[in-house]
Amino acid sequence: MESPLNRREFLKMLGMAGAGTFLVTSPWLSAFAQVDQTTKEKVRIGIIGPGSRGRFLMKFILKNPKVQIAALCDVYQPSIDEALKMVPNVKVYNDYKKLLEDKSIDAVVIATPLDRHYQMILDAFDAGKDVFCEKSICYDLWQCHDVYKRYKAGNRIFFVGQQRLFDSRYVKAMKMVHDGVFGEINAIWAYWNRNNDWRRPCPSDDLDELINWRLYKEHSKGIMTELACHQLQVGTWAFREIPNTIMGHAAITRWKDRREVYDNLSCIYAFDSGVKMTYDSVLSNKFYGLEEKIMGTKGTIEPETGKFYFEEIAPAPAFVRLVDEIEMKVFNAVPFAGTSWEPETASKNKGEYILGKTPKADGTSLMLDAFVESVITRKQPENIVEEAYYASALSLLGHQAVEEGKIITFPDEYKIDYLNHSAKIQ
Amino acid sequence: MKDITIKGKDISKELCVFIGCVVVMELVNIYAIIAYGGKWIEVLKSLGFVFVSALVLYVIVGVIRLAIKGVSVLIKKTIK
Repeated sequence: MESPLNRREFLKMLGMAGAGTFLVTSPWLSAFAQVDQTTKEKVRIGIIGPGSRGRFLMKFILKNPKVQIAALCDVYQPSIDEALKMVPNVKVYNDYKKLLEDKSIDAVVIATPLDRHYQMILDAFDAGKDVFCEKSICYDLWQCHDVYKRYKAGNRIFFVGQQRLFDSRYVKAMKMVHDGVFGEINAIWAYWNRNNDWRRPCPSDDLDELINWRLYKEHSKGIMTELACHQLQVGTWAFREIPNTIMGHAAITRWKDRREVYDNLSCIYAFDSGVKMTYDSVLSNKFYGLEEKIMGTKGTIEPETGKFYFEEIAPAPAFVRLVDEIEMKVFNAVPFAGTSWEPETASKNKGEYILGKTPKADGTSLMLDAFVESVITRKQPENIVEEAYYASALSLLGHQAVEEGKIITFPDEYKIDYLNHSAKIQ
Repeated sequence: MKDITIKGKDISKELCVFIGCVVVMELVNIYAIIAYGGKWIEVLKSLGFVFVSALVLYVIVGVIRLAIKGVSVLIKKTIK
């Protein structure tokens, strides 16, 4: 299991002495500005939804000496039992509202099914708690917008689980993109392919909807809200623009069980300039895994793999080219007329590593550390919520496009003041 | 079994032959740089390739030398 990357290692990995260079493209890194001055502070956190994802987050939280996990809340006792193995003797609740009444708790981590986020976030804000909520923000776009307005009107610290914002590969990749290293970005191809049914083991059939909530429309929008959300955020981060036209198609083609969400999906997000971000996901083939291929006129960067490639690569040394030519003349088969065309198959360029190696951490631990720092310093880092808002909005609009079979234009009433969008309705 | 003595001058001779091979391959490298428009820094950067191909050339030259030596020994024996 990955070990957490502390701030010093993170900055070292990015190859810099201070965070200043990266603040332009990743202003949320300012969360670590006072990390050395907050060593004596302690934040008490309640975990709402310590299921598999919740416990994954707890693993990192427990490694932060500035945090104490003070309470757990879940409606599913086995999740509570597993979480208690990690934090024995903490308070346990079955009703999150009771947890929110506990004045000793400073902040909550919400890792429940998507359809529960909205009310839980608002109730947490009302109870004076800071909130870290897993992505997507909410189940419906109007809920995301409502949460955003409430966040802006209040003074709570609010983070959403878009961990690529704190992944060193992505932070460095975006700096390179925004510095123009790869030229003009004209296309992004994002995909997340798996070859499994996405089901978690279930002790009995009647618990299927509770445990496998991602597969049921009442609780989730499936691929778009659970997977695409991360990658759409990468796209807007790279382009520094929000797309206004969304279209797509989806179906259930492989896993024809009780599920209600799609297992085969494609969406296109078109920006006003005509550049596009495409998103694909199938649950029937894992060969290509996941990636966001950011394609510019001078090169391509793939942050998930951690590599970049230039369109034009330096030729092999002259000596090697001479040997190759002699070898071809001596050993080639009988010459033939030759083709009048050559297929433009994928480049065999091996590329270079963004960070010299592939880091083990994916940003989750640093994001949680940043949340804790923000709770202590009372400083909400810039743009974190806006990035998450648009990631959620675009994933929900993509889902709407595939459901309705229509080309969707980003609704004016859900635009906020960020990048190329302005809030039309306050 | 006959003892074989490798004299100092034999070693110097082989070293000279090998150095000659290195010089030849470096000249080939320089030709390649000119012919393919390579960068002059490759005179140094391609030394690895030059050294390996010099070894190959040395082996080929060695085989030829052995063959010539073998043929001349045979001719001398025939004449006797």
